[in-house]
Amino acid sequence: MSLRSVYHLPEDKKRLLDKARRLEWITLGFQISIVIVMYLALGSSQAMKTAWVEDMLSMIPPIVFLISLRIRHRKPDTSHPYGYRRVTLLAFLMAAAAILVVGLYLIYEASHSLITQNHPTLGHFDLFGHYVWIGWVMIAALIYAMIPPVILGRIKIKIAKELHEKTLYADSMMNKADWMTSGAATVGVIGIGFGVWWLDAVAAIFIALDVLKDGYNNVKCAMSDLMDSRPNSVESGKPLGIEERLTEEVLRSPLVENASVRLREEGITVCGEVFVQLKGQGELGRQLKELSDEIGKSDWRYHNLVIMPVEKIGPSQDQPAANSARNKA
Amino acid sequence: MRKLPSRWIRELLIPLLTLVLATSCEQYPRDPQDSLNQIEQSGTLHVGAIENPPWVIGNPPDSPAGVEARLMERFAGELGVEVVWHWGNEGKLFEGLSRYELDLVIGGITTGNPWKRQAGFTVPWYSGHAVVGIPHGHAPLSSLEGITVAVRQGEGFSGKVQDKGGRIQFVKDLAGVDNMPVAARAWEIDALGLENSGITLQQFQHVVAIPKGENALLMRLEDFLLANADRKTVARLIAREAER
Repeated sequence: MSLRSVYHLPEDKKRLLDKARRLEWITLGFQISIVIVMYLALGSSQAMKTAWVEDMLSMIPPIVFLISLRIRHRKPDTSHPYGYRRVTLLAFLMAAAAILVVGLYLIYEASHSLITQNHPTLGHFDLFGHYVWIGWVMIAALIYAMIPPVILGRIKIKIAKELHEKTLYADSMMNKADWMTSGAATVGVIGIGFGVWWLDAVAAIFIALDVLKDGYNNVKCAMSDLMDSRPNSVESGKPLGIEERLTEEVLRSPLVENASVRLREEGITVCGEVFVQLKGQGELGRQLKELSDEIGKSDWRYHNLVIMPVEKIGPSQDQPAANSARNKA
Repeated sequence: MRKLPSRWIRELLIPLLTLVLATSCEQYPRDPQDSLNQIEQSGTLHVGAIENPPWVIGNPPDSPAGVEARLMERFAGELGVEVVWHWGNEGKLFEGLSRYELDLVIGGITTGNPWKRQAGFTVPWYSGHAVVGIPHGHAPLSSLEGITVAVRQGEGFSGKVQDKGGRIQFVKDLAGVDNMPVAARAWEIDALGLENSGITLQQFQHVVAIPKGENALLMRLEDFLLANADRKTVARLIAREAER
């Protein structure tokens, strides 16, 4: 069996990925502290409870990112000859689904408290022996809950774009959802103070629509990536057009007469096939086509097998004879 | 980056300052249904009373006595208004509360009350206990394992006694129990002249129910309770009611 070669990230990208990993640990740490602080200040405001649940769900993207980071560095083996890098796409789907769930949850909770006309009852809170209005405590907790996501989200989004790391991008979108929900809840609590009981639910619905849109776009992009879409932008999901660039580059080689490529994403890397018509290739092209047609008949499942002439058969193209898959009697 | 401070001032500090000014000038938090202002304007505080000694004692059409009735009369006095009493059961009064027909409901309501979704509760103003009492001179109890405890039927303490390994003997009147541990609320144990064995069966956090979301009224009432319903005062009030 032929195994795919091990991919090594360029040094600068490796450093960025390390930074991303550290940032995700920091995010998790802050997120846990936020969940605790919010729990302690949890009153009967619906928006506050919603923001709290949202903060718990927002731990999903960093967690799946960190897990995927462990798996994607595994070397290709006989059970996964193409390697484990596509786990990144799976992590992206999970992170995107988490955003979508948050959006749906926010809509449900907010409309529920509007329909049931839930008037939040907020009285005194025992703050280390001083009794204050719990609304102030909630606002303080919510402002604390806004600061880390704003800062971390901004740093992460830059790295995500540079690394073509969609899980990280989804996570920074989640951070955006985080601080916006907390902001809406703050407005809601202030509104409760002014006797406007419905303000927090209405604020939550506006935020929810934005989160829902992010979640929907990200899930769509993740599913399309899993279905081998063309490499597309982390930010907009539009095709990057690297196929054209690659074809031009291949055509620049003196060996090549004509060329065509097809590419797909495997997480942060791009792979695919480059088809070339070599100058003076003689019978090679026709012979390979015949071989392809012939093996295609032996099993109905074979479809579009790519035949790749190489210099020497080994377990992988740049990893000579490390594994036992050489008997081509 | 150098622009950041001015942006922060614009987007964060100014709204915050405006808010602080706005909240310090007038009533904050306010009532969505304007309960507190209406109480003060009409000069009447409509209180729902559920018979539950020693908190609310009496019968319609009399004005209720009891610890909470006394406290609410004092609260009305502080607001400079008169109490209008409305006797009823929980279902009726909480329905009235949820329609803003009543301002408060009292009658030994605790945080575990199933009506809490229909109403707002104050912070617990008194924490009571159900305990096991023993006659003076009775050997001290370290646990209820294998011990028979007298329980007044219909109060729900039997489960708590059995959970602790005790056996139940239902009685109609706790005063008639002779030389046997008794399960009852702590104030009742005192009133019966028994001694608290130190074994607690249940804790009750007493609250007053208000209409949901009427936060100005809630804050005012909580301020009153925190200042006036300290343990000593409540204990004195309970002792006085228990003597009747």
